[in-house]
Amino acid sequence: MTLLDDETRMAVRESVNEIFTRGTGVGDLRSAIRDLGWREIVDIDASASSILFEAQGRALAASSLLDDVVLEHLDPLLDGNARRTVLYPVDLSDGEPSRDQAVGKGIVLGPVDNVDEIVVVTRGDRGVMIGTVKVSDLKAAPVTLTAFDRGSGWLAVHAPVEAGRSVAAGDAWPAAIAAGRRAIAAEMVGVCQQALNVAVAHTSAREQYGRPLASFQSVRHTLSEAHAAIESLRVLLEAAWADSLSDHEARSAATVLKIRAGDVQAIVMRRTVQVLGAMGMTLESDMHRFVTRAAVLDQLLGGYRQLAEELGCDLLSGVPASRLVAI
Amino acid sequence: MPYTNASGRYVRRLPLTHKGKPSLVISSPTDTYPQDLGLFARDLRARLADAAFDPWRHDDLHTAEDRIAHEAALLGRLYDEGWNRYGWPEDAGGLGGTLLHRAAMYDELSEAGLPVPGPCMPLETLAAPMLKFSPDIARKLLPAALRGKQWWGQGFSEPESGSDLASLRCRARIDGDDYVVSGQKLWTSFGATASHYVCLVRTGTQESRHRGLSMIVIDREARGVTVRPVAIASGLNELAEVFFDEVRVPKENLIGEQGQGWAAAMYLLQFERSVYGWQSAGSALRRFRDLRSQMVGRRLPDGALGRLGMLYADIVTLRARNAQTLRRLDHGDPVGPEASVDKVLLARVEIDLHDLARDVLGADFLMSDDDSSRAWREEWWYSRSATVLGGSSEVQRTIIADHVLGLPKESS
Repeated sequence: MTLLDDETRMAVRESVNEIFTRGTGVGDLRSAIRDLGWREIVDIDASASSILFEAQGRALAASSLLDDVVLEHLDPLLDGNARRTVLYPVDLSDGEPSRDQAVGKGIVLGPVDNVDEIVVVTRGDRGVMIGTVKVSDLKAAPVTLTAFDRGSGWLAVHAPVEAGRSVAAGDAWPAAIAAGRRAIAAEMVGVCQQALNVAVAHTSAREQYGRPLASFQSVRHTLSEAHAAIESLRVLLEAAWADSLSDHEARSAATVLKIRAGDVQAIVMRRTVQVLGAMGMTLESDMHRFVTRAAVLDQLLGGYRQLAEELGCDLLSGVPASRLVAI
Repeated sequence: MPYTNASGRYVRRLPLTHKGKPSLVISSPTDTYPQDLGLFARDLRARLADAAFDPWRHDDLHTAEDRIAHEAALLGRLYDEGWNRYGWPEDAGGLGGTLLHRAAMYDELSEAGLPVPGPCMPLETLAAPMLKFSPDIARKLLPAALRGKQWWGQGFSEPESGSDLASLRCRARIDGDDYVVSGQKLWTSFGATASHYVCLVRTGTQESRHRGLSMIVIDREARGVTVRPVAIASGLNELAEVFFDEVRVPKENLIGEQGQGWAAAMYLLQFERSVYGWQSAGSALRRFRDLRSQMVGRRLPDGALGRLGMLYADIVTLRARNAQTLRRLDHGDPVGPEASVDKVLLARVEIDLHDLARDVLGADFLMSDDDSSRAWREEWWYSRSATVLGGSSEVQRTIIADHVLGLPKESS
């Protein structure tokens, strides 16, 4: 895999940011990105998708772009060219497919109006299975989720899976999860970075006791900690894309990355909310939107607390503690 | 006797060379290690698995002095076989290659369950300014250091100058062909057993702060040098206080020009942040694996599994960051204030690893006499230095605030 050079990367980033800040509808977003020549860009450098998802995070944009990442691995198993969306299992926070093979429970990332089928992953005695459910077969209408994060546009779905229309997932589901986790981590970088930018701008401008809040040591140190956390996520994201990783290592790296993404949002948001004072916890500023978006992103494909505990359990039962990064 | 290593390279015995002891040197008509980092690492990995290295895989030593002597012997062995000479210039005892060879060696040691020899830490930090500013000094001192016969102490901090290093007072005045040095240094790592001290001394006025500093190498055996070991709370003499009472130091021992001390220190800091960070990260992964083994079959405190998973994730993250910084340094890019992020990440790993060990091992950590518990106790105390030595956590956060985030300055 070749890489985009720095200059090209920067140009792509600017164009992508511009698309997201324009604030188009989901459909327009997809065409705008397609028109950018996105397909060619990721063909040259697959890791360029990080640019896309980071931009989405910064803009707090809502879209189902993540489906494209996941479906790239699942579509080959499925028949026909129906328009599809993915049902993300969030019933169990470890990203494990639903244990009830008859019903897929989870969320979809956007409206099902322009979609024919929902891709459902289930696990049972036949192992992990991938199936499709026609939108027209849904018994209950999807419910928009607005409890904590109000702007995601995500929907809760219960999808009845017909036994006959499932196929064994094989290697495709772990590969899809790893790719999905890399994309989510990139989006998390964007959300956290923008939250920090807002916090830096606010504390640099706002004055008390005759000087900016950001001239007080505890505020400065708090913001530095948030910066260090975000940088740690950036570098790990880059490492998760390394060519030198085997498939197995890439999956381990994506799990580690997902854990860190959740931890970083916890570190960053606690700090950015704090330094904004009352502005941070009210609707008087946008900070709450970063908090809630980061929180629901953590839930997709494995919440960090659950993943960390499972990883600890795996390590204790003999899974090697691989270095994953080598010089 | 000669052996053929994993890649079929013939290792031969040279005639008696060093102090009557035979040396083994990797030899082949064309030494491909300098150009082939992957081969170097693979061959080293295979070699370190050999039982010849077993004496260093477990530690039952009870003093810092014994431990560093033992680890210096490991370094000597690595020298005899050629491994640690890669990455150093040939005219200073090296065999060519780059910083990445050294980094690969430290990593393979950790992967093999071996410690990074203590002498390698000051070596990486202090050889750098020598090589850059005064190669003659490097040519003179590096060979013995690579052999593990000598190691150096970094004489920077003083009783009155810790975080505010630019305020240091240890004076050096010119007298004929010498500098005459008076003052003291404190918290010098490896100071109790070091052969030389690389010191920042004041050659200008006190008011000139960092502009009036020079870097100089002082021989421990010079008249007027007194060393007082300083123990970490574990009881180990990991540090020292060094007193200089009108010590004559030849002018040739200056690293760089007079007044260039601060620039030399800033240069050195890049290696401390990156290479020392990498050495520590590899050791942390090794100790993580040790702790993990000890946790199997043990009744664990609440949350231990999650902490173990998080810690592993933090170690991989630290390694990713360190590797990136090292590659930049190897490429010739300056490592600037962003390296404070590396230090913040390292400190968190050191503290979290050792706090997890303490929590998991419970009463054993506090009261058992076995080697393993003793080692964790000693390391727990030493790990408290991660947020203090080499620039405290507070200083790192201030550097990030000032030079990375560009926040408004703290007013005085």
